[in-house]
Amino acid sequence: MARPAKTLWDFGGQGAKPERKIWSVTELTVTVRRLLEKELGLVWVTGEVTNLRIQSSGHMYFTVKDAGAQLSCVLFRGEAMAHRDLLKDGQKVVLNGGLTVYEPRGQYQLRVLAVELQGIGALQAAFERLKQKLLAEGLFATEIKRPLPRFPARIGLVTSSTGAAIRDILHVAGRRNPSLEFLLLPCRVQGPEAAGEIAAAIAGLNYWATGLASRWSDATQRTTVALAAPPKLDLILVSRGGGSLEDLWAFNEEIVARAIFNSVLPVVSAVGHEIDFTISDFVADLRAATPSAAAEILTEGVFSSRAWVQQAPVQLVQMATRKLAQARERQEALQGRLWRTHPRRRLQEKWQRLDDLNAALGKATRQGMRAQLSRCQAARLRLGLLNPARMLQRACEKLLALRKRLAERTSATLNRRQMRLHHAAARLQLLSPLQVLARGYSITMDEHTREVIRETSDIKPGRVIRTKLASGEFRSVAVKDLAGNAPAAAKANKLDEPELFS
Amino acid sequence: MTYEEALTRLETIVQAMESEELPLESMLARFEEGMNLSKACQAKLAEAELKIKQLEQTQDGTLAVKPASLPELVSEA
Repeated sequence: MARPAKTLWDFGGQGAKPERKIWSVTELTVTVRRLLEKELGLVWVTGEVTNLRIQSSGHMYFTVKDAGAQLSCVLFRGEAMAHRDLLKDGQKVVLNGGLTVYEPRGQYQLRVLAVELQGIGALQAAFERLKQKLLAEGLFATEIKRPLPRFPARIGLVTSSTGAAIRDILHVAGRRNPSLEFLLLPCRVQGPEAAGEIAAAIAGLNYWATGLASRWSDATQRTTVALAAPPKLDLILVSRGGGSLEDLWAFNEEIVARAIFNSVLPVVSAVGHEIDFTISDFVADLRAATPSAAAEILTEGVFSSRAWVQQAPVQLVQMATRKLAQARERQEALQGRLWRTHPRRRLQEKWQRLDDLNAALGKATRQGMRAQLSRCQAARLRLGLLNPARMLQRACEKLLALRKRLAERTSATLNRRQMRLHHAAARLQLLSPLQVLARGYSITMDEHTREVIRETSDIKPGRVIRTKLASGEFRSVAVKDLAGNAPAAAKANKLDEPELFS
Repeated sequence: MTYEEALTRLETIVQAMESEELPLESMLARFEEGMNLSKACQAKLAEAELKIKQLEQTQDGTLAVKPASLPELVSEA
């Protein structure tokens, strides 16, 4: 198309008109698509996800943008390798895919094949993915972790020969256990080659020390191989000083994790600072927080024994002295027992026993005599009470008393009888009719019948009546009663009192 | 005898003397052995110095031990 310019201001296109080619829209679009696909092909592009839409078909549509532009993207369901979970509105991602044109709309777009996080995020995601994968495989299982020897003497060292880690390790180890030996297999611990070199160094030290390439004869069944001879190293220390996540990245690579998992010798991992955890830390038999901490752990057995070794002689002397003192004490105790069994001592004991018995005997005798004496006195007393003269006297006294009581009883009875007689006589006296007459009363009776006259009707005029007085009696004749209807009053015969009735 | 072996033997002797009822003769024999062991342990610690060697790939691909060359370490030590 280039033509030689005629003037400074000749921009071309003003000359002979080229032949007009008229495209159909489809033709043009297809051409653009082919051009795009051919010229750009697969690209990596970074930006922020926006306007994410997931269709029911499973395809995802979204836009990535930066400050100046935006790009339509589509992630089809069939792309198995893409990490869909990383797509989120506002998420910064790195996309891998092919540029193409969606012809029906004439819109160019990115067909996404892979999604990654950008920078730190990408590393963290990779770390997490590998961690989950190895965890699921059982590479971190506590059952396969091996105890470290208490007194390691030779240690294989996998680190850089110029780094801070080896300096720290040798410094601490030299101070705490200078008898330790290190065998260094230097390697890079940073950069793209580091992971491979670290893994090779671990394998190399293992092979050199044991002649074996792996601890497993069957890694999935976890059957271990047996060592033919004691290894030339006690363990391997894989180490690196502090740095950024990218700096430490080699220790998060799967190849390093596998090398540690396969290591015949126990592996200690000491990478970065306390806060840094790497995949190699999880796979290793022991994780030390820092290189210095690893050196402390590995020298702890000897270091802590140093103080004890220093005071062991003192302890030995103390113990020997104590044991000798115990032996002497026992000997003295036995001598004492022997002395106690000496014959003369036996004899003395027997003498003493005899004396004791003698004393007891005397005491018992005295006590017996006292008892007899008191019994004798009691008997004598009772005998005195049984004297016949006294018994006679008591009988006399009793007789006299009885006699007295008899007399008293007799006279008392007599008196009571007399009294009763008097009383009876007196009462008889009171009841006598003569007594009544004495008080002036009289008794009148029929002369003839001798019946006592109690009423005037009993008297018939002309009847002779006898009246009895206290002293004597007289006869009279009834005349009439005082009412006048009776017979005329009688004329007294004998006149002590001539008118009886008036 | 390594330091570890000597130390382990010393520990065994002290333990036996502490707990067991040893005949006087053997107690004294162990006492003597223990004293020698602790002396030996101390000597080993005193004379020890950190040994660092390096493994290097040789021409035929095998590994060979050679003295470590860590100049910056020496200068800083």
